[in-house]
Amino acid sequence: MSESKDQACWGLLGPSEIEVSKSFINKGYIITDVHDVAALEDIRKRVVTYLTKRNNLKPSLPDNILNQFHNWCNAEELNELRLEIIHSLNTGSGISESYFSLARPLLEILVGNELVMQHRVNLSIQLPHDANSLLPVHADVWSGDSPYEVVVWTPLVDCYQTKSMFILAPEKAELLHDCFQDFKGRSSEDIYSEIEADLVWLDVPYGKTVVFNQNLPHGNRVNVEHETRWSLNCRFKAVFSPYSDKKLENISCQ
Amino acid sequence: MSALGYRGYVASRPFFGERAPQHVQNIVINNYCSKNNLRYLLSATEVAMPGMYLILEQVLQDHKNIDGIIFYSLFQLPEERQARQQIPATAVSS
Repeated sequence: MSESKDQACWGLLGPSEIEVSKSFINKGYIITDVHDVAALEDIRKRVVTYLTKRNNLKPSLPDNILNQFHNWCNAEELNELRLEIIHSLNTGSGISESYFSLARPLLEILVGNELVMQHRVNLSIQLPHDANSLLPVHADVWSGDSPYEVVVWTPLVDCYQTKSMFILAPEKAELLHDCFQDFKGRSSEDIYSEIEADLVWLDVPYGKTVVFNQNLPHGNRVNVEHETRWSLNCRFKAVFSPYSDKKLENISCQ
Repeated sequence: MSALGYRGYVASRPFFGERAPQHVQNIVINNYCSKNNLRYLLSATEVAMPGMYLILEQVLQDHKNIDGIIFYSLFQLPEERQARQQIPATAVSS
């Protein structure tokens, strides 16, 4: 395609915006610096303050408390704790605005500037070697989410390898979707076995955020690293793009 | 209260002419768990593709980590008889 036709496809987007858009289309995700660092630190501080009070911990650096939290919490109490923190975060003031600000410039390039987001910011905690908090491979669109949504995934600690999440590249996902009916009568673990070699594990240090295409298979495995993973996630879409199972009344406008 | 917890199982596609929003299904299951003093785990959502029970198969494979599965509706089970009968048979044998 000639350069002028290629530019015409992108409308009035500037060169850097085009580059970001092409990268998102090709890889299915973008890892970028958090736009509002103060907002991220505030969110993390809220979580750490809650944990410190709840578990009567000695004040320490947030990284220490979060990464080593498996020393003060067992797998049986984890889900209840997770729900408590989610409730605390989402009933506190300004969490939606804060979370939106983490990736706002990137969202405005990729999705638009009239957005809706999930009502709640969600929290995921994975203790080392705990098989109970697994998210099997899935694409959110498989279970009724709009294909026009993106996910903003933000760790509260450095995330790497099995302390992070995986995603399948677009061209590989297309091959999987073409033969999806072959998995009738089988489980998502069978799908994972089929695509394991093609998965990309995202290296996301604290201070960065990921915007990814939820049409692509993604998930996590047992965290075999020595540190606990803490990550937040929330979905965004353009307000006038088609909705699916989740209607406008279940989401907030930004 | 149970130690492991009960996995909710919700539908993302219509079944037998019924279609309930997922958040409503979760409320119903959560309410049932509260009334019966059951530990409620995050619900598993079945895929939307007709005739596929990918997630249910996965939840059944995970039986050692849960006390049971709570379906939003009995009619979420497979329509095909043999497949439908296999679900409780697998659960009972595990």
